[in-house]
Amino acid sequence: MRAMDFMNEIENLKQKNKDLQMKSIMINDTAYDVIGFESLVDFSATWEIVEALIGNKENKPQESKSVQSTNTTWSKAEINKQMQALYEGKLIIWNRAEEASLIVDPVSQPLYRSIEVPVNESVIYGAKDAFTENSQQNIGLLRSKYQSKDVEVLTTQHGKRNRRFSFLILKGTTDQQMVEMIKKKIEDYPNEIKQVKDIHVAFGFSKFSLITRVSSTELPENAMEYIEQGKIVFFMDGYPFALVLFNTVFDVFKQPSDSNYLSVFVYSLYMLRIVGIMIAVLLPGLYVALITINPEMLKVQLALSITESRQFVPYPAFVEIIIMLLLIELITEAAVRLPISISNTIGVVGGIILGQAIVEASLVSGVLIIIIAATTIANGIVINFENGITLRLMKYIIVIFSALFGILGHVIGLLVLCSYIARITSFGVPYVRWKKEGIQSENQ
Amino acid sequence: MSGGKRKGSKVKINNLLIIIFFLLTNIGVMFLLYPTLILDTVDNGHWLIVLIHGFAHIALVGVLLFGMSKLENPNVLQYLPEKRWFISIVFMIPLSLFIIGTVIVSIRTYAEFTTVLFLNQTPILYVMIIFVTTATYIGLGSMESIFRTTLLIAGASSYIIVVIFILSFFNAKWYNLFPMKVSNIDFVFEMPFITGFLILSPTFLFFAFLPKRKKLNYKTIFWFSWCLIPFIFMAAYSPMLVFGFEVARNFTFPYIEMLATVDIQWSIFETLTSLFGLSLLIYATIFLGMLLHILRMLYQNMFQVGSLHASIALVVIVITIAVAANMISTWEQVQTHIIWIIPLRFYSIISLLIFIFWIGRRQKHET
Repeated sequence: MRAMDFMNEIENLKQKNKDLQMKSIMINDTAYDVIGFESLVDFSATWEIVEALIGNKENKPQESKSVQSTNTTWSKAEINKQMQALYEGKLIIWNRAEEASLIVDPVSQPLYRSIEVPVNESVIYGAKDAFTENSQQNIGLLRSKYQSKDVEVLTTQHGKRNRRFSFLILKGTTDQQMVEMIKKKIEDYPNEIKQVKDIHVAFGFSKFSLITRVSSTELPENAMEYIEQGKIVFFMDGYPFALVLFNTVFDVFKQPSDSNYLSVFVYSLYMLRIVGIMIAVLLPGLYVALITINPEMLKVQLALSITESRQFVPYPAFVEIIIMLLLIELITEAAVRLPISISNTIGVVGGIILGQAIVEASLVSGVLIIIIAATTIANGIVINFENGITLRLMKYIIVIFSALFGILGHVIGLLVLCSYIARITSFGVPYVRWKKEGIQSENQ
Repeated sequence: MSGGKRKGSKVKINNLLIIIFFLLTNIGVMFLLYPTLILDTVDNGHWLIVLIHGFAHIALVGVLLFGMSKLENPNVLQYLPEKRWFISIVFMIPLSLFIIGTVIVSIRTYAEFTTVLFLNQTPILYVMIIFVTTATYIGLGSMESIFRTTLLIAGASSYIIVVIFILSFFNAKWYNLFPMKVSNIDFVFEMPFITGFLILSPTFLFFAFLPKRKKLNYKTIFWFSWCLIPFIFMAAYSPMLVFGFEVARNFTFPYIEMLATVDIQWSIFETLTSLFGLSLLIYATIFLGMLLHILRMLYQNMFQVGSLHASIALVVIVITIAVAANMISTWEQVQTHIIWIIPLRFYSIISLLIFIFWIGRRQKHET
């Protein structure tokens, strides 16, 4: 009865999925069926393993492919479980006579790219490997960097897609209760988790937050360092980044691979990045405030030269700067969307030709071009692209405050932003804090 | 074991946040009005006034911190008895009125200062609204978030303040220090001295209302509070050293006027005045935010209501404050109102200390 059920189910499945293969083999006068999706399983490479397993050779050490079956004993497993195994890319060997099956990890089709150099986070001195879409591979990358029994992996699967989430735990450092709680939040989330935004929603974070609570890194080196700092690092299958929870404000200008430089240089680098962040957020607003409402604060010569460069510009500084900022955003976005070969052209056309033309046409002042260039360059200095986006958004808030209340509005805007950042917490752990502060003690 | 170590480091950090907040808010409050008061008190021998005010301040901080260190919970409002009408009338209502009065006078002062310095065209009501709205936004957050805001602001502005402090002595004529002799001590009974006495007291009120889980090292904070004396000296003496006593006493904001004399070739700004003024305004807004936060806590505990109710009430109170501040029409009236708050100030501080003492006694009895 069971055998009929199983075979019927397979036949049924085969009708609907043309990539499902069922091959028969006779070994020692026993008939076996080998079933698997050829889109997931490399049959020709797996064949050898199957023969070895069935031919009672499983006790001998495997040679090249290092095959391990998930369950080396023949069992009468449930149909559902067997079907699930098929979808996960496993192979089923069916013994017709005994009506028992064996689920085997076959040689998979090369569906995942190999480990490559990072694309989004460039490193000068530091490990050059980057995460891929395969979370098992990613965990392997981390294990290779921390070869100790203290590293543990907790996994859960979620939704119709059966998406796997893997949490890394470093014993003695990671707060296990917190990991369990986060895992439960993912498991209990009723909708499908498709993108990182859904994780935010599952965790109960505001969708409209300016600060990334769950940030991404593609560098195993960074991820390992974050785990050691007590942050929680997890992988979502198919997303080629490690997701990091409990970032701090210091992560905006510090990254682990900095420590490969001379200490003096590292501190200078931090200073440079802090100055960069301040320029990126404050400079456009300062321009608007000083030009529109408080020109008396500037040195007379400077005020005169700016006024001179603006004399043919027909609209207020606020409109002028918004036009330019918008243009820069368009260039940045176009450069991301277009193929690399064309995006360079966009840089030249947008940056140089358009910049030159717009000043000559007296649509914006020359000084503003300098301000915008400095802002855009400074924006790129922060660690992690997500933090860069935050700064990009924040500068508009400051610009609006400055346009309304001049230099006072400028600092009040800064104060409001600081207060906003200061009150951000994830599961009770504040964003503005020292490395480990609060992660453990405040929630236990 | 590692947990213990981590807790240890946490304590240190919280102390640092609190110390930064304490110093910054004191700077924000001190440099605007305090120099005038000291210059108005006596003709020479200002150092004595500075020392008396400074030591009185530190002594009170010390007593408050000592009292708080004996309590298990760092927030005195946790010890309110079930029937709290008596404590409400004797302690909480005067304290609330004191805070409201201080906020009214402060926003009016800072708005006056702002219109003089940056926004000559803007009506004073709008400036007050900006301040009070920002302070309310800050005050609606948790106390911890206020400390963290201060940390960020300190990171963004502290170097400006340090540079300005150094530059403020560039034009000093040191002979203006003299005569140092104190001719008489009649000033003790004069109004400017009494006004200046404990003018900084609102800045340390928060020590009695700290959130739970905060284990503080009260001694460290107390030793850091000694840093205030050099600041008070600087606030009082810098303008005098530059202008001489007779000229300095005529200014409304002597320290700010003094900064206008510093010639800075290397800056894009004309004078240091506006930079320093802006820093003071931010610090003062944080300070007002903290006061409003305490006010919200007092309201919440007085009427035993939920957090949302208290927040809405705070917004209503703040609107009243803005209206009241707008009704003060001249600078002279502001100074009269500062004098009005003096009795409340003394009463609130003493009642707070007595309340802490009473809690301590009760705690001791229970154990």
